[in-house]
Amino acid sequence: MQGRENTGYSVQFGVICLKVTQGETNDRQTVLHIEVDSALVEQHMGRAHQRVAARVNVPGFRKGKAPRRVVESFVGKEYLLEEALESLIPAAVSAAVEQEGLKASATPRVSVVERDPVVKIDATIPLPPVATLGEYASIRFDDEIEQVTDEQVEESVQRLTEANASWNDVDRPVKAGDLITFTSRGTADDNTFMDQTDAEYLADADNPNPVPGFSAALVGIKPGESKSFSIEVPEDFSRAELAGKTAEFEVTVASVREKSLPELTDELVKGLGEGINTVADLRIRIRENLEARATQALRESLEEKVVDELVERSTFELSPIMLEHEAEHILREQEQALARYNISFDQYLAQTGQSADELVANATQTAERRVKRTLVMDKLAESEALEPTDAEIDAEIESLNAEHAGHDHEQTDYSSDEARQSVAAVLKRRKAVDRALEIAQTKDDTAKSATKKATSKRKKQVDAAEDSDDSVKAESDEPDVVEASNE
Amino acid sequence: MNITDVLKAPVVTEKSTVLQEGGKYVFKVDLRASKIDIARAIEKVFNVHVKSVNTLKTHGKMKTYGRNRFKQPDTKKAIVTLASGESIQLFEGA
Repeated sequence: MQGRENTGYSVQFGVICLKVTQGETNDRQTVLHIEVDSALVEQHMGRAHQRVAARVNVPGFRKGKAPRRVVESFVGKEYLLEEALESLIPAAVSAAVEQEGLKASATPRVSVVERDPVVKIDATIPLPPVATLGEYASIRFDDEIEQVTDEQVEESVQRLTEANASWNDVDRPVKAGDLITFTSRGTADDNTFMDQTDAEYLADADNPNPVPGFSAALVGIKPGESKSFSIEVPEDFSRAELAGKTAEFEVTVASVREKSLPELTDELVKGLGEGINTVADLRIRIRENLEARATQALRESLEEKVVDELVERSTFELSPIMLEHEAEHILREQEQALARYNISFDQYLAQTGQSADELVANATQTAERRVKRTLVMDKLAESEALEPTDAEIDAEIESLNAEHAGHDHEQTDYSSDEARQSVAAVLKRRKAVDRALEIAQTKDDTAKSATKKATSKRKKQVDAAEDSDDSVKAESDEPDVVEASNE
Repeated sequence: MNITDVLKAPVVTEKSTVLQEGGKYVFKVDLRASKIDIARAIEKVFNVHVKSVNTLKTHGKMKTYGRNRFKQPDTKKAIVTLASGESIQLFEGA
């Protein structure tokens, strides 16, 4: 290996030395030029021989019994070396990473530069991403909760009564919205396209079947009466055999039924939910539900906005390899999700009209967003010194277990240290989000000072632009401005 | 017998590999070669000293191919014991 300034030292790795040269660091990725000691290669060749011997049939030997040189001459030394590299590369790269005191955030990208006589590997190591939190104390969102109006409540009540509506026979001509029973024949160009006896039909003006305008034509027919009429079918009608033609109808109405909404009584309301005994109860319950939903929606949208804003204000250094890795992860998740519906990736692409490249690009974008958001949360937790307590972690694990208990899929074991850590990480991020929300919704002194700064600055700029001599006056104006902004 | 015609091929099997550890090498040899021929050939070709030669013949199996029955050729193998400490680089170029 050619010596470089910052390089050329070897460190003990067990009994084996690795010669590692670190290249430049770009985009949070660094290249390690690794020269693997022949002893380490030999060790892996030995293992490779055992693996190959076990699967290759060498005449004269039982499987796995052929000695090294026989196998070598049988399959070729190169083949054995390839096999050895398979286990050698990960071992050497991870050892080299450790030796250099680095930390890889994803699987390094490796290329073998030279095989014989020395194995030389170039590994591109994605380093953990770095995020610098922007100034976050001044993030403010004063989104108000959406008030639940009486109309919304009434609408829900209306829907409830509609669901309990009944149809009653009436003896009067058809009106829009009635449910009728009729015998009908429809022809177009001497072709019968509809022939129904005692069919039920909802004469709603919005009903586009069998052709638009049909329901309107029914209005006014009395039960037992017949009527013939013709309708011009529009050119763009979905049934090609009718489009643009004149449809002739012969209809005999058998009966007319009218929709009758039940009266909203305590009787009706009972049994809709626990604790609901009167109509008033129902209204209160509906209002509560709507309010809860609004609060939830507000919180979610705020969370989204706050984290986005945090991301916006922070700077990141991400390694492309890591992003790619994340994107692959996302794509795999998508594929699994699709597989559950028996859809292959190709079918999905065809259906959504996306190209494979677009899909990958999307995944990369999502990956970047995901990584950034997570990073920001972690950083925030760090700078605010948020750590979940043991008790909190225990409680979370318990609730997770309870959640999974009802399902028959595999139980996740949270008892291992690793699982515990990941639960703790999730909790930490959740705490960070909570904290961010808290910050964004406080109306404290920092908020004032932040507003003050911003306002006075703006004010000054305006003044300076208008008349630079007036700057003294502008200074004295400031308190008023601040007070105004506080109100 | 002509010395160049004696040795045909090394026998590379699990058993022969084990024998090598005791300084014994197994070859396929010409059916007509005598132990003396074999010893001379080995000494000449590999530049070693032969302590002893054991031989064995294997009879070719009868095979049927379609309607035809024919006999696979007989072969002769020789197990050559070298003087202690000597060895043959059997697999070089094999």
